[in-house]
Amino acid sequence: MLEVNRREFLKSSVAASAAATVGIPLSSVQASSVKEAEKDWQWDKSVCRFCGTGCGIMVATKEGRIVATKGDPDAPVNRGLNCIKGYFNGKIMYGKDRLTKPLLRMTDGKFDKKGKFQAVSWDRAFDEMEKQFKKTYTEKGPAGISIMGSGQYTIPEGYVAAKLMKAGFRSNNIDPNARHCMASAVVGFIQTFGIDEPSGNYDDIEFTDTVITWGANMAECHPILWARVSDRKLADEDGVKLINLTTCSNQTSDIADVEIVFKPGTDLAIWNYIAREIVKRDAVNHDFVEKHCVFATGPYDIGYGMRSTSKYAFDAEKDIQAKELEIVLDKDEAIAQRKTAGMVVKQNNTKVPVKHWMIEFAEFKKGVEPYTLDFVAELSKGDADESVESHKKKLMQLADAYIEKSRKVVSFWTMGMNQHYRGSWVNEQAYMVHLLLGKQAQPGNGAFSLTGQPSACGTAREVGTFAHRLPADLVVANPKHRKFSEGIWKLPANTLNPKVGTHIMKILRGLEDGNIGFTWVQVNNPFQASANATHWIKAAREMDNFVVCSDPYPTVSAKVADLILPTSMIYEKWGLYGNAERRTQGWRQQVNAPGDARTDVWQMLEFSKRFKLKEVWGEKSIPGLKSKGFEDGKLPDVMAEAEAMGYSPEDNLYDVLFATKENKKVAWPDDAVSKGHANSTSDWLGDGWFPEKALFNEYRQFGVGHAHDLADFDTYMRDDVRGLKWPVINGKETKWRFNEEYDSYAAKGSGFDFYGPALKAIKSGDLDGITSKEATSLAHKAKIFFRPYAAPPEQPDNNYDLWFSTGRVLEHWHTGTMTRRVPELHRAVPTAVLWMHPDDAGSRNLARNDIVWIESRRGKIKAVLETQGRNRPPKGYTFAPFFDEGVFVNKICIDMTCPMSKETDFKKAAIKVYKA
Amino acid sequence: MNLSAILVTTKPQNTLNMIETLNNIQDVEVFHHDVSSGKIIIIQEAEAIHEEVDGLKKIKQLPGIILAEMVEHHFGDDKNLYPSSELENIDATCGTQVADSCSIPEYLNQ
Ligand code: SF4
Repeated sequence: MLEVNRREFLKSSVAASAAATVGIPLSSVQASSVKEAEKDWQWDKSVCRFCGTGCGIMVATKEGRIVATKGDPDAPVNRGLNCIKGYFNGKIMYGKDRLTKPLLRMTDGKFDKKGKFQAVSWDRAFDEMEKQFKKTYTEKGPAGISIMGSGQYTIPEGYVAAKLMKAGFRSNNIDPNARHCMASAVVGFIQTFGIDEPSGNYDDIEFTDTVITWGANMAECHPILWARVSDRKLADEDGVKLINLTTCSNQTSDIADVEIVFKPGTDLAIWNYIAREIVKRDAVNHDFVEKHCVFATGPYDIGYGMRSTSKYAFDAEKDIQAKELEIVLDKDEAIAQRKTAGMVVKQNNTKVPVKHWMIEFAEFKKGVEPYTLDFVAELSKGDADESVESHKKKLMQLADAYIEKSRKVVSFWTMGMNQHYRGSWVNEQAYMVHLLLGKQAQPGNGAFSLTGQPSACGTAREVGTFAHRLPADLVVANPKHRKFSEGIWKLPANTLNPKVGTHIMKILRGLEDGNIGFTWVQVNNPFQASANATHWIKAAREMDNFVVCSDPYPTVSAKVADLILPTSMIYEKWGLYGNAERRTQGWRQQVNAPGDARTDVWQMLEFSKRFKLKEVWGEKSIPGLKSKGFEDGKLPDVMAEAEAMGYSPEDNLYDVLFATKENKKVAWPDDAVSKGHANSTSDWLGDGWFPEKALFNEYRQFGVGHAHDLADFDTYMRDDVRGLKWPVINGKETKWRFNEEYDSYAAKGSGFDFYGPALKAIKSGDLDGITSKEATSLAHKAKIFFRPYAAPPEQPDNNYDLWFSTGRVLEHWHTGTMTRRVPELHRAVPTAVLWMHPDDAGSRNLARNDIVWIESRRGKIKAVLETQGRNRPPKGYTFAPFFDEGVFVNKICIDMTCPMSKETDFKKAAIKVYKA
Repeated sequence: MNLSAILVTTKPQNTLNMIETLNNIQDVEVFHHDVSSGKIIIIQEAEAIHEEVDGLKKIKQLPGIILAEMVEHHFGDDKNLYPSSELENIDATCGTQVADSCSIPEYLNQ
């Protein structure tokens, strides 16, 4: 065929295929042209690599290469569409600087922290890694090693990492970058419902008539869900109401009926204003609340998740860091907390921020009473150019939209509420409003936390790759949970370490203060993605520690590492992800990885072969360990019991934890499932088993019968299954949890049953503290929390006179490590810019496109100034995205966190901006 | 050469005008539409990805556009994607001996 004819033919068949995908009828001629064009392609279902929406992607391969991708028309999430990033999926693997050999810093053939990277064999890489790991493990014990994992781990990857660390090395120092993304949402779920993850699902969009977004620029960051919201709005323009609450006018406001621009941190007050209105208008759904809820509160003086010592702080940071110990209440905080302005409040509850107790409804009412319209409107108005009256009017519309009896309401939020110095509180406040109204856990009604990463839910949370978790919502601190896990994992009693490990911010701090001597970075880029980055980069490069980074590309984290392990990417391996609506989805390996790049699963399994039981299951010192059944500061020697169980001290962790007798029965090749697709992990291991399948099915045992039921591996790989929302009972997914009509775990006759088991026996008290001695059970009920407004510890002042917030843009995901590597795009895509109000630019003698310095207490960076376009900050507010390692915004962000969730607040730093 | 099929949605009453606007954009061709739902399928042809992305961004900004998202993406003919030889690629990026095949970008060692 002539080139031009071929192209025309291809065009019309791609168009016809797309039309079919979105439901535009085709003639039979058109349909057959699609078939002809694609005759030697192999299409297979898969999942998007990027965000927590979890779109289905169809991938076409031909002769071992990916030739096309399309939105999966059968995927219920995206129904054939992809956003612009989804479209990169086929290309992200082919960046020119893809790493294909292990690289070790060396001088004269020996490892040298100050040396240059040189290519080495996998054996040499593992030899050094083993040596360095064992050095730290001997010196510091399990507390000195760590893994910085990810919400981008596939489920088998996260499971291997968690099991290797917790059961093998007896260390809980594994924590994902998902900590930065939705840890506050988790605390909100666990404290409110006693179980993690949303009650509703994306279908709420089609069932509701009110969508309220809080700190979620869905139009840019969850575009496919936003497309569903837009469809809903267009189908009923007058009936469907959209309200966007944001600190910076953005694209989500474009089709919103009301845009509310509020001052950073005052979302805490706005939620309480709505609650006060609900109470005042007697709109509480008394029947629902009495049957299914209790009221609760907790201490206010919980700090800001910063270090309690100023020893490591730069001089300029010290004034803010000191607030970790005590603060002086400002006027608004005093009103909001029923105290006096100027009062000095010592932060006495920084160690137990999650403590909480039940209160009476009367106390709750007292708590929300100060949040009058006048008070909240003055406090929260975020746009200097807007009148208080206009802002007030919008707040009233907001309250009306929630309260109106016949209206169904969905609240969506992401990083604006999660990355918040009181992120857990503000998550709980969303449930407060929905529960007061009885608008939760029903089609079209519910508060719904959207997630950022593709498997933040499926892996980080459900598998439990956190410092405090075990699979299926179990936690290391609970003796029953440890026992249950030791049972499934066939471990001697007390192998598992009861002491909560270090969260990701603390791992980075540990590299600096010497508590962490070894870290392994997997599927994430923490040295770019973590706030106050200068500290951590210096720590990795200059302190006595060993940093390993598994990475397909030379990211910032790879650059600061001592050893880089070249790693397979999404379609070069088998995997499963779990999205934000509890949907677990799987894919097959489509192509082979280039060069010596290997899967994360293979890397961990190979590494595990280098450890004998006698090295890890002897007595271990754990500084600060205090737990019933354990000697203080120690993990017991469990070898005797291990031998009684049939293990030998010479057995290695690979055989004991992974390639067990049962798992080895899960054989590879597995023609029924593989359908001709390869499995490189199995081939490299070469011992005839199918690790991803065996380990997934092993992991599954944790949740079955515990309201976390997953289907088996083969089900998720079936062509007619596009993911299933857990709990999956008898092959059937659960659409709305806690609702008797949809959820078989909800007791019959209950209507609603908040059966989550965690934190369901607590003491009682009043707004100020606990008054009862005994804990009472609140089984089957959800908690409605009162949480007050608290002021952000760092705010603009005379010197650092602007707000700064960071976040994402449509085209780039994560730290841009993949989206920026599509070859031409790497050069062509604009770098990150700083958005600012034109008047703020004018008053600083700055103009659009000027290169400016952005300076905070923690560092300064250069960026190009932008005063137009998609983000329109109000006066006094600025925004720059973090995808660009050339505009390293995390050097200026503050590493304060929500003290409960330890999730960093990337949204509220103070900066100054001047011409570079 | 990259081909992308893009779904454009507009208000049903705007469909025909929108088709005309879209057909006037260089390297864009309307192939299918459905007036009842305001859906239009276009094919955008571009040398390389960034032109494609820019093109999509421009389409998104047209007045009357409700939605413009990629549906299908064909890049089997994109010559930039698969370097003809891996070794050539490595040589260019790390500047050391080809046999080392180390793929070390210069800045990693700065
Ligand atoms: S990035 Fe998110 S919204 Fe875009 S295609 Fe992927 S999963 Fe869907």
